Amino acid sequence: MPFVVKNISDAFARGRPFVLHKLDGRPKQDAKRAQACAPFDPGYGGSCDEYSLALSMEGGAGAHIMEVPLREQFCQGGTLARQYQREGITQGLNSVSFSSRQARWLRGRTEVSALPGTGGRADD
Amino acid sequence: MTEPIQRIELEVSIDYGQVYIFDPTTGDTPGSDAMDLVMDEAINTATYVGSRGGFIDLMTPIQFNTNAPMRVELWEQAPPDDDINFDHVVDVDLDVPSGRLLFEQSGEIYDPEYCVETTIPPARYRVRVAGRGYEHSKSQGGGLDSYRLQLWLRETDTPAVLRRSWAGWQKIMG
Repeated sequence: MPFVVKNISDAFARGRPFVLHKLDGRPKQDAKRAQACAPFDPGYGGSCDEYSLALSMEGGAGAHIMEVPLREQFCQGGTLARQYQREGITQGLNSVSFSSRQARWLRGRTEVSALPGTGGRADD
Repeated sequence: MTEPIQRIELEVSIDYGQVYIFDPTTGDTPGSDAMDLVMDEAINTATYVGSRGGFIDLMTPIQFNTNAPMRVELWEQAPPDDDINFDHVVDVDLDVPSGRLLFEQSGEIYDPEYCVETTIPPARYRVRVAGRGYEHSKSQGGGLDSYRLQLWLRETDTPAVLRRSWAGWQKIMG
């Protein structure tokens, strides 16, 4: 998911948090997505990707957004669900988190083909 | 036979371009191994609808739609061909041993609170999965896509069959 990773990397560089907390409640998630992506105009036929995620408490207004290919969204949805299942993540618990090493690695990349070790908890 | 035995109108939520359709008693639920396997199969075969056991991954070019119309039809036998009315049509197998048929958006694990659920007779089904409104929905910011499942009893397992392919998939998947 190179474009999604680039968006996360750029968001980190602009001060968005490394640790997100899962937000339950579809209306809340929808509202945060609308806040994040409402002004979005896909110039290349892609999709809006936001960080912090609209599915997190930290999402919504002020999220860093970027147009990404829709094919990367297919992977991202499954990746999140697998992480929730594997880590037993529920409302309020860390949903996506990055170690300082991963964050440095992300910040140093503009094109990547995979995100290593995203299953870990934050160590910042 | 030109009419279904039963017709159920639902509204389901789509996110990350997918809605999962499943019987939770089979163990094949969002977040399970089936989810990844089925999506890979759907992409690798260019059907964009994958199935395994009691689980279907319906992929759509619409990133999200929280109120997507979903019609479920039960038929005595394979329904008549009306594929021309849809953008994308695929036949797959689906087991529904409990009779509970759930719909959950991608990006979430199985949570009954957020699933749309309906009840159908417990059985092993062949399912015709159809979607439309893709072009209009994409060009006008979403919300114009709709979907239909037609189910009839099956006796044997059969691979997925791509009956009609939406031309835009090639551009999306590269």
